[in-house]
Formats: sequence, C-alpha cells, structure tokens
Amino acid sequence: MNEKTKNAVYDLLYLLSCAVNGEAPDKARCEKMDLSEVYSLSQYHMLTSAAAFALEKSIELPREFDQAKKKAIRKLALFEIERAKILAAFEKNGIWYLPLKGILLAKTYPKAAMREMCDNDILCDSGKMQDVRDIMESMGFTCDLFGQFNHDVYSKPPSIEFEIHHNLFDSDMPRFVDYYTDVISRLKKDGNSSFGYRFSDEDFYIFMLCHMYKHYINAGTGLRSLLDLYVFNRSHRAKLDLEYVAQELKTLGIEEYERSVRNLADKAFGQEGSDVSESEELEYFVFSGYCGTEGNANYNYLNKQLGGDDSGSSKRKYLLRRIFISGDDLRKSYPFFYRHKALYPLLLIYRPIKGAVTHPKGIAAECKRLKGFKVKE
Amino acid sequence: MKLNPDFIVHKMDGETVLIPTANAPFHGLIQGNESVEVILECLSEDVTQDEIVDEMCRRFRGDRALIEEDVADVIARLDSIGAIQR
Repeated sequence: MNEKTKNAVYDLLYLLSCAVNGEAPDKARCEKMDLSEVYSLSQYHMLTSAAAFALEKSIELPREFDQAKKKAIRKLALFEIERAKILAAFEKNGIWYLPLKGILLAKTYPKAAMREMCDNDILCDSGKMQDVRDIMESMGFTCDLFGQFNHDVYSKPPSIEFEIHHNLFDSDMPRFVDYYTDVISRLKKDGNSSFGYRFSDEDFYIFMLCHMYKHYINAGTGLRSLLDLYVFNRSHRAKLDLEYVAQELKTLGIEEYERSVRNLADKAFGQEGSDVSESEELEYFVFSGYCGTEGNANYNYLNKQLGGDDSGSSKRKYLLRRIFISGDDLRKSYPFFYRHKALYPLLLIYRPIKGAVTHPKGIAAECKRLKGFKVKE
Repeated sequence: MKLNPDFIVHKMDGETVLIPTANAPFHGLIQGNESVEVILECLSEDVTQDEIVDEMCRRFRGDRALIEEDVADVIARLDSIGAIQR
C-alpha cells in the first residue's frame, strides 16, 4: 500500500468509526484529510454516505459527500416503499419470505442511510418462483435473471434491484447448502405478518458470516462487510448465545475465520482508535472493494480448482476437466446437453468452435492465467 | 392543489423525506422538518393554501402572517420541482 492510499484508508476507517460510534471527528484532522482520496476509497467500498454522516458533524460537507448521502437516503426510501408493496403481495398470495442481509443490517446502524446497498435480498418459498415472477412483473419490474442460480434478479428504474433467492447458497458452497437445507426449520415467524419469517439474532449472525466468507474466498469482500460485522456485534453480541454460535460456526468450518475478522473489525472501528497495524488481511479487504475483484476471483477460483497444487500435472488435470465439462458446470452452462447426455459428443465439437469464434481472447487469457498460476505463500 | 403522485412522502431515521419516483421531473431529495411534514400531509388531498395555513396554525403556535410566509415558501419550492399538481 503506498503512503497516499494508507492515509486515505486510516482516514476513512476513522470517519466510519466516528459515524457508527456516534462521535464527531476531530475538526483539525478532517481539514487535513485528502478528501478526494477518501471519497474515491469510500465509493469503492459503498461507504461514502457513512463517511458523510461523520464529516458533516465537524466540517462543511463537500458537495460529492453530500450528494452521496442524499442518494443513499433516496435509494433507501425507494427500497422501503417498493419492499412494502412486494411483501404485501407475498402475504396476499401466501408466499413465505425472509428479508436478508442489508435490509436488516441497515436497522443496526445509527442511521439506516449510512448502510448503502445496491439491491435488496429476500429468500422465498422455492416452489413459488413463477408466482413471484408474475407478482414482480405486475409491479413493473423487469426480470433480468431467472432459474439459473440460487436467486432471480428483478430491476426497475431508478436503479432499484431485488434479488429473490430460492436458496441461501449456490452449489459452489456445498457445506453451506447442506447446513441450510430445510432453512425454514431454522426460522421464526415474524410476529407482524402471516408469511414473514426472520432468523434469531444468533442465526442471523451465522448467516452473515457464511455470506461474508463466501465472498471472501471468491472475489473478495470489502470494508463494508467488516463494518457490518462491527456494528452488529456492537449492538447484539452481549445478548447472543455465544456457545451456540461457536458450535454452529465450528460445524460450518468458519470458526477461525469469524474470530479473525471480528478481531480485525474491532481494531479497525473500535472506540479505542483505529489500531490496525500493517495487516495483510486488512489490505485484502481494502483492495477487494464492495463487490470483490476479478483478480481475487481468478486466483481464488484456480486455487480451489487445483486444490492448492500448482504443479504441471494438477494443471493438466484441471484443463481436462474444463474441456470435458460435467456435473454442475454442465447443468448451469449447457442445460440442454445436461438433459440430453447422448448428444454430449456434439458438445465437445461445438464448444471449441464456439469459443474460437466468440471469445478467443478470453480463452487465451484463461490459458495464460493457468500457465502462470502460482500458489501464494 | 395536491402532491404530484410521482412524489412519495416517506418517513425514515425519524425524518420526513419527499422522494421523486422515476417518472418525476426532479431527481433529488427533499428533507424536511416538522412543519414540512404537516404541509406534505395536507397535500395528500386536494387543498388550498389557506387550508394548509389553517392546519399549521392549529398544530403550531406562532403569528399567522409568519406561518403564511413559511407555507408560501415551501409551496413555491415544491412547485419549482414539479411536486405540486393543480
């Protein structure tokens, strides 16, 4: 990390710490900040609104921070308005639902608009996805993705997006898929509705960690998830059944991970000050941004596929699996050939020709990445 | 006059905000205090400016002339962003 970035990181962490701990940042320190660097970094992590809430307590808010804060407020309000209509329709049609992630995390922040979000996530009865689609489309949403992954995507101007989940995790996280089979048995009824559900605070925390871990081991996850962890623990940890939480995290294999990121979050945002010394783990969060990076995704994907083995034979075996595609990859990418396996030999001819015509550079890039792949020490 | 249906009144974080939807001619945010909240509440139905002033005088203490000025100012601002339907 160069000096400019390091200063911006520490300044942003400081502002976020002030925002969520209800403190006014030191005016002299704010005036010395390179606010354009802090702004760029905060945008990369979807944390500009939170930083703005802190800054405005001590200095006149620069225009870009003010605009970001207003945008966050407007977007949050639009989400709340649309979500109320959607959930009312689910109630009317007998579709059970579980609001997820940012929808609930925003309420743990001192001001909900500190917690920016680009979409709303709701888990629904997986047997009613077509009914959900009919409801969403009748409300003016466009269906952008349906039936391919563990969630369907609906969007509406201005930039309102809902992800309606059939399952909490996709098949690339088998341990989590197993854990959350029959998820409704882990849920409590939301007292205010007939078909609304919620997690217990313990199970919400566990799910939050699972979701964070999923991103962490793939494309990476940014400072916003670290801040979510800090804010949730600050308001809930004292009341959690920690023995239960520890047991479940152990079952999921992420007990160590939780301890490590929780400690990092406490150091980064705790009221004792941002005492985060040279930390590789913090760097990973800083450079991942709110949606991860292609570099992280490529490295983590290959590392997982090669089982952490960068030898020539391991790479050759992986290449064969890529050419002779099967299983879940076949089901997702070529559902027709998955259903008609007798025609599979045709796929072996079709794929290379299609690849050479439609994305030769992509194939060349993938081969180059595989050839040059080295496991990090 | 009443509120343009392309603008929605919403309460969050203890504040009233006026949100333009995608069809609105304005793409920003209006945040208001308690008196703006009452004015927006009145505008949910067809009202005259005098009726709004009457309601404000019922809810708040103050000189009627000053309240009239404040109401006129808010209405003018809402008009300028296309939030009023006449």
